This record gives sequence, C-alpha cells and structure tokens, in this order.
Amino acid sequence: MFACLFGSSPLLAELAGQFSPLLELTAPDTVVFSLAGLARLFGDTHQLASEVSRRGQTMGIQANLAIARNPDAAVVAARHLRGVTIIAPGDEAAVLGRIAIHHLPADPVLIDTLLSWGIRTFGEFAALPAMGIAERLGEAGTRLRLLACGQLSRPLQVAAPPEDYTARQELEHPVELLEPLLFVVSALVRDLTARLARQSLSTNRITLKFTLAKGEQRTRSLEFPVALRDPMVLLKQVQLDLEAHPVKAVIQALEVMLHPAETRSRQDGLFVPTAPEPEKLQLLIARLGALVGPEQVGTPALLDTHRPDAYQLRPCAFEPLPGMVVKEPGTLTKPNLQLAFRYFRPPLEAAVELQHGTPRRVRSQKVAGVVCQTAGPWRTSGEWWASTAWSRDEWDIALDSGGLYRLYCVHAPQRANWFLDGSYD
Amino acid sequence: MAKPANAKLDLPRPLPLRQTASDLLPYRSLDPLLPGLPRGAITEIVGAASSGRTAVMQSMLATATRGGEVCAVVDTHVAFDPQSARLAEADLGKLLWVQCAHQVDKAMRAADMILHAGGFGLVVLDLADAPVAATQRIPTSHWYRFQRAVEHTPTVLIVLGTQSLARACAARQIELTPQSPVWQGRTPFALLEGLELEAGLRKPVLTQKLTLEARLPATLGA
Repeated sequence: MFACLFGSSPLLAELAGQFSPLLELTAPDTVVFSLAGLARLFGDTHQLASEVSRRGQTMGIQANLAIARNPDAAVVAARHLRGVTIIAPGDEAAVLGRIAIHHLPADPVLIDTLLSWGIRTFGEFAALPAMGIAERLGEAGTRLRLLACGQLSRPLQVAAPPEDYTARQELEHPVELLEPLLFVVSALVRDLTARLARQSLSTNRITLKFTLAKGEQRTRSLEFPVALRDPMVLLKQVQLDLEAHPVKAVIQALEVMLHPAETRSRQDGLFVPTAPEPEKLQLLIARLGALVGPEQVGTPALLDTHRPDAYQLRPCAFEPLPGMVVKEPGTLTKPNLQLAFRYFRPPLEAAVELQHGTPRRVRSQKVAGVVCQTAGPWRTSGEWWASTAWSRDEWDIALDSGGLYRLYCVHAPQRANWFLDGSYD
Repeated sequence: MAKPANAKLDLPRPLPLRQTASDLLPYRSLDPLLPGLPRGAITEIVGAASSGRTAVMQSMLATATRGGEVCAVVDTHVAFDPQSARLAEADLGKLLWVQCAHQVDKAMRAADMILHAGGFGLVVLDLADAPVAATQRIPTSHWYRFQRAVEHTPTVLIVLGTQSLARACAARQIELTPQSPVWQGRTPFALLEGLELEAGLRKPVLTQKLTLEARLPATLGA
C-alpha cells in the first residue's frame, strides 16, 4: 500500500519521512511514501491514516491524504478528493470514478476528444472497452484508462537524501608539518572518494578547513575543470596547493569536504587523436603552476580589442572530440607559410637615431644595428577611456644584421620613448 | 594440385619502425626536403632571428590542432604570439601555453613534465631567444631523457633554437636561413610583405636547399 500527501506545505517530505524512508517527491506539492511493514507499528490503514493526520496537525500541515494499492491511484485521489481517502484494494475504480475527466493528466487534445465522446468522469472512461481504447488512442490511451481504473502499477521512484561528503578529524597531537598533515588528509580523501564511488559520483571541488590552535579557522578550496575521483590525483593536487600556500600554524582539527559532481562519461573511438587524460592533465597543470606560477599556465584566448598583445590565459580543459571521429589531417585554407611575430615581453627599451624623422640606427639591450629599410609610421591608439589606453607610432624595420623588427614610439610630454616590440620570424 | 603460373606469395609487409606525421607539414613546398616529421622523436628547427623558425613551427601547430591533437608550447622567453598563431589557423583551444619567465632551467623542467604526462600530439620547446651561454649549460642528459620520454609515443617534440641543442638526440634538424625581406612600394610608402628564406635539412644531411616565402598576414604587420 502507498500513501500520498498533497498540500502546499514545505514539510510534506518531513512528515512522510517520519513513517517511511521509501518516499517519492512526485511534485513540489505531492509526496508518496510506502506503507510496507507499518501495520505492525500503527495497526490497519485507518489507524495509520489517523496517525498521519495527527502528526500532520501537530506540524501545522494542511494536506489531503490518500491511501491506495498503487502510487498513481493514491496521487490521483489525494489531488482531487479532499480530506482523508482510504481506497480498499479493488475499490479503486469506484472511488476514482467520480473525478471529472479533465483532471486526467493527459494532452488537452485527448481530453477534448474524450469530452466530444461524451465522457465526463473517470468512471465513464474506465467503462469503455480496453481494446477499443487501444485501437483509437494507442498506448497513451491504454495507460490513461488504467490510471482512471486505479490499476496502473509502477515502482516508487525513491528520492535518495542528499549525501554529505564531509569528513572531520580532530587531531590528538596538533600537526604543523605538511607530511603528517597529508597522511591525515589521505585517509579522509580515500574514505570520501570511496563514498562517491558507491554513488557513481565524482568531485569538482575539494575544500579543506583547518582549525588552528586559538580556534582560528582557515580554508583552502581547489576547483577542477573536470570531475575527478582518483584519491591519488586529489591528494597530489592538495599537496601541491599546500606547498604553494602553507598553513604556517599548528593545526588542531581538519575537515575535508568534497563537492559531488556527475561523473564524466566518454566513449573514445579507435581513430580519435590522442589527448592527455583529464586527471593527468589536471595534475600536470598543478605541477606546472607550482613550477612557473599558476597564472603563467593555460590556454590562450584573444581579447576582443585592437590593443597590441591583448590575450588572456584561461584554465585548460580540452574538449574531447565527439566519439568515433576518424582522425583526418588538419587542412589549412591559406596556401603559403605565414610570417609569425615573436614578442619581447616586456618590450625592449631602445635608443633610436632619426634621420628626416625615420629611424636610422637602433641600439637596445639585445638588438642593435643600422636600419636598412623601414615601413611606417603607423599610428595606433585606443581605449582612451580605460586604464589600458595606448597610443603609439609603429615601424617595421630591417636591420643590417638581417633581423626584421617592430619598433614603436610612445610620445611622452618631455621626449619620445622608443621600444622594440618584437621580431618577425 | 597444380600451382597457377601467375601465383605470387604475399608476405606480410613489415611495419615501419617509426611512424611519420606527414600531415604536420602543411605546405607541400617542403616535400622535397622533408616528407614528414617523425613521431616519437625530437625535431630541431634552427636558424637566426627572422629566419622563419616560428612561422614553420606555427604551421605545424596549426595542422596538429586542426587535426584534433592537443599541443603544448613551452615558451622560455614568453615570445609566443597567440594572434600570429590564430592567423596561421591554429586552434588556440587545443593549446597549452607555459610561460617560463626567461628561465631556461624552468623551461626544461616544464617540457619534461609535459612529455612524461603524455597525450600531447606536438610539444614545442622554444629556446630561440635564449642566450647561447644558457643553452650550452643544458646537460646532454636532458636531451636523452626527452628522447626516451617521447619514443614509442605519437608525440612530436619540436625544439626551436639558434643552433643545434639536442645534437645526437634529434632525429631531424631543419635549418632555416633568412634571405631577404620582401617590401612593397618605396620608402616612405613601403610595406613589409613577407620574408624569403632558405630551408635545408642538416640531419640527415641533404645538400638540396629550398627557397620559401613566408607572407605577412594583413592584420599582423605594423
């Protein structure tokens, strides 16, 4: 038997949970729960219904209650019959029969069809021959007829309570060094990832909360572009982060929280180009970040501006190609080799000799020589409204040493400042 | 049973020892010189400043990324220009860029990490702007380590430099020499159009030289 609670109270699930852990959140205003095994505790269905009503009244809940042999019959009765309705097994068609046909959860066109046939109630619809309904309305009609009869049977879609993937460890002896701390973190992470694996979940964020000697709290949080579940990969990420940002205090308690995320699923083809495994890639980026700085590693993205050298580095998360794509060589549309540019970052300050306003000799820390050929000046400016404003005269120059460079001049109030921007290569 | 007169015995053809990635050389003009880049090996591109090293490297990067391969650029002197790479038709979304803050030792360690992580189709180690003294201090064992890391993998390791660095560990060595810049018009109305360069293969030695022209994309010039 199943019971259904229908009402606007947000406490419906809590009330149902007091009777059974097997509950289905059918809709925000509808909760269905199983009554299996409750007879020994509360007695027959009437006694059970009165107990549910009593507890609901105590909690201040205004709701309809229906008890029936299957979940759908209970839902229909609770939604459309006021108060408490107990449907004895076999009486479903009789009890539901007086409900108006427009309450049937069906396509409005189908309801109009039934109304045009002169069907006004569930009972009249249930009285139609099953074969005729199947011939005229198909599978959907057969299903609705069973619903109107109260004979539609389905398993309850039990809503699992959200699990909390948090583990806390009070340390008997306070810890200050990284190695013993990682030993404790390792045990907690392994336990939490095992719990995630049981639910077929992964994590895309790990949060560590440290309770320090004087009750002070410190938190570190690491986000991953792709969901992970391998405890070794997570632990290595934590280690690299704690090495880069040490706590530098005595730790008395530790809390590790994993934020659950859907496990990524991908079917690779035999001929799909190779790509780094996401777990290894995350670890690689963390290691490279520890080596050169996290802001120096990433995927370049051009900014929507004419400002020279405008780019930003974004976190790497290489999108895999759709599965079973046969690898074909990349084809370029341009027929010739394209000359590339190499930046001097930061630009090299240069001393420039001018002749008739044209650079004739350049001297800088790395590059020096006589200018053989020039093109320019090309004046560019922009973003005067922002701190990224620029205004400069650019030249392409060829030096006698054979190098091709881009030279630019920034006009300062006192004198012109010359810089070598980079070379063509 | 009589054997037909024209019957031939088909022996299984031995697999090539090292797969070549001919598709990573997009411009057929290089074919007489270099039919393909060896996968699982080191290829060096050497040349002076403005010799077209970066142009050749970016064309390889473009073909690899457009073929769906994930690539990495270990940029010792933070010289890589994403705008140039995009104009060369590289897919920047498939690129990992590591900026090594002008430190050769960090670049070597970063390249080592990337090669050992695996899964990259093309890894570029850019030492083109590194001072000769700094590159000469790189122990030879590093190059042997890189050679071991890439062999039996589909990864192509490209090393950019002014001179040969990997020496015996490199399977191919392309040498580029600048010839002359190509200008359009006369001063003061001249425009840089491109660069003529000469390409040769120093390993394995090939006496034939090719003359190539690298065109300047319209939106890149000053």
